[in-house]
Amino acid sequence: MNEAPATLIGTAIARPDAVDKVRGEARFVDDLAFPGMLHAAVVRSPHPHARILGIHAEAARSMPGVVVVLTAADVPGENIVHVIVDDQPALAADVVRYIGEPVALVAAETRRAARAAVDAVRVDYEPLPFVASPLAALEPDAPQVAVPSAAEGGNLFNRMVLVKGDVDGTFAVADVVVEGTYETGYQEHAYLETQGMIAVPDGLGAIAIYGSMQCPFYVQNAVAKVLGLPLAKVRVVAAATGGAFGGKEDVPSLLGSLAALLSSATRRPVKLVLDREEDVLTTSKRHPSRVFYRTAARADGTLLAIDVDIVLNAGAYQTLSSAVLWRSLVTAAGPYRVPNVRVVARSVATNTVPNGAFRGFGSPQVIFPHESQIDLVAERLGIDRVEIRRRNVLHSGDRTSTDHLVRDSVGIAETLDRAAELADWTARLERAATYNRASRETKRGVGVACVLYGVGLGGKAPFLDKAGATIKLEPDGSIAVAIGTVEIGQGLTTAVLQVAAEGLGVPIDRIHLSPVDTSRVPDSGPTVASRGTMMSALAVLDAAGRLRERIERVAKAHRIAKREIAQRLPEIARFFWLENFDPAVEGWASTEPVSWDPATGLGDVYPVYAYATHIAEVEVNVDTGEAHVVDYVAVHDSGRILNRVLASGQVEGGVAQGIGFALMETIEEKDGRLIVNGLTTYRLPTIRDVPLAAAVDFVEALFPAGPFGMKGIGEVPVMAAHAAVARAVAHATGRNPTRYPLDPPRIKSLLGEKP
Amino acid sequence: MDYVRVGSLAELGNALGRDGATLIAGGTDLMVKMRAGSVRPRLLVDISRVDELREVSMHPSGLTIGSAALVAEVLASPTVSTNYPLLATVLRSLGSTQIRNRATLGGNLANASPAADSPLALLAYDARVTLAGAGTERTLPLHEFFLGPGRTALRRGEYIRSIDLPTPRTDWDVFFHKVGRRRALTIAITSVAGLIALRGRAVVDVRVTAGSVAPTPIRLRAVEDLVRRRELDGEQIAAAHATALREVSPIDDVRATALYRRTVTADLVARFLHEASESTPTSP
Repeated sequence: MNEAPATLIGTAIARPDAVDKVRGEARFVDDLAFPGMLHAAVVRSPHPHARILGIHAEAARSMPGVVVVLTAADVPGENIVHVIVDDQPALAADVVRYIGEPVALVAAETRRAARAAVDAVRVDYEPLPFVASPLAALEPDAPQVAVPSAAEGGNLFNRMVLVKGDVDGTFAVADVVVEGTYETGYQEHAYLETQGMIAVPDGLGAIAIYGSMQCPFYVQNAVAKVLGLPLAKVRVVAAATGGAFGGKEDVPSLLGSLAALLSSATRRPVKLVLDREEDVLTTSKRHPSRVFYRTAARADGTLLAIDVDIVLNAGAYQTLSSAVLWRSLVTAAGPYRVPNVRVVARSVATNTVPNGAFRGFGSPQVIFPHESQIDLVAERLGIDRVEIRRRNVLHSGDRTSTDHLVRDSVGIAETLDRAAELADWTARLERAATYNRASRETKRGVGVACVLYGVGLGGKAPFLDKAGATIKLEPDGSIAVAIGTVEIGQGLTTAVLQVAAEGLGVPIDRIHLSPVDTSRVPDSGPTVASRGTMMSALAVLDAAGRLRERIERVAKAHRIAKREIAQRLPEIARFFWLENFDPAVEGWASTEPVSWDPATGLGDVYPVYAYATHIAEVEVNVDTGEAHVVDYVAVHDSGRILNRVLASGQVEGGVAQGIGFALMETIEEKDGRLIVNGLTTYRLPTIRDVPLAAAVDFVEALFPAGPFGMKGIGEVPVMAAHAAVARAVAHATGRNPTRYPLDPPRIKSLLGEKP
Repeated sequence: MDYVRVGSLAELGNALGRDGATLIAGGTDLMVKMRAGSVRPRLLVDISRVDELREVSMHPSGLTIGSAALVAEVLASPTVSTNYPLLATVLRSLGSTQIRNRATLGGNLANASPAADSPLALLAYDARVTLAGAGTERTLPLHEFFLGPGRTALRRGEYIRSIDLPTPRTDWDVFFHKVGRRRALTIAITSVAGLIALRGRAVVDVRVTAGSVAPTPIRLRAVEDLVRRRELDGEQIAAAHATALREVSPIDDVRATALYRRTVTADLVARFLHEASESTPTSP
């Protein structure tokens, strides 16, 4: 598209939503109220697996302030939360499959009354045998968790394979073979704003949903299905959304459905907002994983083959697990040329909370292994860790593990060189060695990690990779823009406005972007997969191009020169109005066709890939096992950077999240119960745990099909960060960590192992 | 639930006589428990505005800290940082800025968590607590105040009046290390504090305290007795390490295993003594 550097593109425009947010004026869902609004609370299963024998709600129904109590029998449409596979009920009917599963709903005049009524609903259960570990769930005699129609057999939700070349033959002749089994645990999104939805009767038998979400069109589909309404009667509006990180991809479909059921039953607005404890205990997390990874290489460090077995704990229902698993599968080789590949990936049903999307979406679980393995190869061969990556990273003209011939926008080698330069890699390694000779109590270590990320939904769901936009020239010359992907804190509003201003040739302060409303734009797919800004920017550019033509035509008719258009737009807009020209245009974007063959796992699975190299330095206390990140370098290739300050913010936040995943965040599970009490016992990094002087830089390998050469960035920072930190711990301790989080007890125990 | 904010010790005495009265000052522990439903007070008696309970004053026999003095106020006191540097160091690791601006020293003691931070310094400085009730007042050493997790010597109707620290030695070297999952706003997995006075390599006096390794924060008296008035050498430090391993009685919990706590506590005790021995000139 437009490859010429443009004035607004890349400029650090201040985010227009900052003032509302800083002043506390942005309207998050719990700030909204509607006349006659009721408050919802959810009766949830206390058992990991049980049969529901009876629900006794009479006492709750007669409590003061209680308006209605609903169970599965009261669902007017299909009792299904539609995500990918229709196995999850909105309200459990016969069987509950995880602790926290919704069983009944209460709407009352106040939140307090609703919660009190929840305690008064008595549910008789017959506890059933349960299984919480995915490996145990795969045993032939395991309790049946998965809804049979949603599984390939037993509790195996999905099994996917990727096979290329001659793996066994290559391992037999390779100079070096290294292997390891790597495990990661839960990660909680910990968005600032907990989940919340309001359902409101919208007139003419329609319903409107206001909420905190990433995917308004998912919510629209789910609500229509559960209420038995046509899609046109369901309008979804994204409220200001206080962070999401994937946690508001599928979960709002469930919560929106629950609020909608209550609103439909009472014909009143109903608000459902989770408190932090309920949110942490009952909503999706990053899939815990176990990955066996074997790597074959030549004596010069060239990677020859990988053999990978991936198991993800999906939880009780499918939700997004098949899509998450698919990304694990096609990302397993990382940003490296590997000619011989075998990956077997399985997602398994267990009696635990359904896991879903989390920034990185199944890739961190394979990145920890692939970055550990390449370091093990380097160590065995005595090759520097940056050098071995240089010898293996993809270049234009290479083929990925899925046999995708990549030509455009392949910047991984540049990120690696730039990161090594910014980190002063060789000198830094020497400094660490000098430090470690002198220090007994603490040891320094430096780690490097390279990642690749397929932008968009790719071959697993190509039908979702589209977006719409509408632009309207108002009679005063201001511009109203509507799109279908959501501002969730990532900076999409600012970036899309910059693109609109550039595309229209109009000052940015004349343009307004309204909140996403599904009645205003066609289904634009979800705000996920680092696609939100890229896709909406493309749709806006498409619309802007056509509106600009019309504006130029009208200007010409009135003898206004092209260079005067921006300045005299109010005048031109007035001519539109007086002379009855159509001032509204629609824009549309869809990605290039992708291909994927489920039998082999091969294909051109994504339209384009983003890349990054991160380098972390840590200090480990050998007495206590504490690790602390002391310095950091992050270099990204996300094509053209639309707004450098916002892009850097994405990187810094992702680094913090990656440090948390590698060093401290986890939730223990016992008998199907998550042992966590909100954010009191779930430990996120604080400002003292993140490197304040992190160096962030971008190499811009332009993507010709992206807006001004841009591709996505959102997820990539966290993907690289945890691995760079873990590999720095490996360097400092001289051991190969195979399990997150690397908290003080685990590092202490690692130090007790043989190097 | 009722709430009353008292303005004087007399009003406090009256309010505490009422049924089901629970004291609240900063509320940083209590409010969390109330929200979780594990504590359901019938009457909250707010002592945060009782001036007599907020003094921080140095006098000839030592330092008196009112039980409702904010942690931030104690930290802001120049006499604390000058005369009781270990207390300042330990309190800087308590919670976060926001929590230190609300939490009180008395509350940190009354909560009686085995992982509490402030007791490590207070035990090391031989602090005593004054407990007042309806017309009575008694003083006891801090180590007798803690009875177990969440349990103290406070009787019904009593409150902590003040915490008193004797005048300290002027030649204490201090040590503190708190191990948490993160570097701020964290509950100690294990923590060790120490005071040591040396002449050459000879230990004139020493105090060692530890958190999260016993039902209450503790003094490691066996370690202290072992090294007091001895020369600090490698052998002595190894013996102290072995003694520390035996002297603690930690448990497994969600944060760490007992084995980790025991090992790291002993390692930190050794580190404390090792650093002290290295900081003194080796020649007599």
